[in-house]
Amino acid sequence: MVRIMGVFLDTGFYLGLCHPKDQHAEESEKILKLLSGGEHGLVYSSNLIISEVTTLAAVRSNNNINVLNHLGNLIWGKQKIATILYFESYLESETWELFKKINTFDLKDSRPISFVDVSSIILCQHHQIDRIVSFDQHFDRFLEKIKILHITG
Amino acid sequence: MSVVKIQNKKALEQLQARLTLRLGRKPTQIEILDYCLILANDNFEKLVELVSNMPVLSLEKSEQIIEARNKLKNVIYDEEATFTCRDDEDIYTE
Repeated sequence: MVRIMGVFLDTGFYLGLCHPKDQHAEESEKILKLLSGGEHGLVYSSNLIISEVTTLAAVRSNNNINVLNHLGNLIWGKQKIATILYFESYLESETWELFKKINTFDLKDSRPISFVDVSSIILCQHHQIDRIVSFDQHFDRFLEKIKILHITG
Repeated sequence: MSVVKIQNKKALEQLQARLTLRLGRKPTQIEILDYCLILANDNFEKLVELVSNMPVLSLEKSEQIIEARNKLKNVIYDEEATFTCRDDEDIYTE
């Protein structure tokens, strides 16, 4: 199968672009510039990620209209950064099966992976996307993560 | 010569009128379209964005995003903020 270059954006990355005080603000900025080079291909996210990021941005900013407008611009406006993939009903059963498998077998005694995270894995598989920008370790075994190099010293 | 039908002829005429004012002569519509092709080739990524309606990132765009974000530095942002509903709290917090 021919794999199409593409990268999927997770909630944490959007939040890092939402506010300069977010814990991932600096890392998100560096990754955004890395993605701007174009070598990672087109950029995607999903409607379920939008649901998460909008809710968290509202709570963390105490419903600040400027933060929400900035976020809306990143998702739908002039500064839109990703094509939004829709998690549709035909993907539900596949996601549910993987969700059950990971949580009851692979992560049996650990903190569970969310249904949204599993939906991202399934969406990526269906769209031949093999990389993700995320600060969540749950994705490590499924998708290659784009990370920035930390220069020390 | 093959014929290509243009859907938005009015836009081409308006462009022709604007160019006429600037140039002091009236360029032909074919001439304008030829230059548009040169421009499209020189700005290929922008063309892809227009044609596919897919957002394309550029360094300029990413700098604008960061600039807009950094203007929010005085806005309250609390990563420990809590939800009023226990279920939401479980879903959205680590």
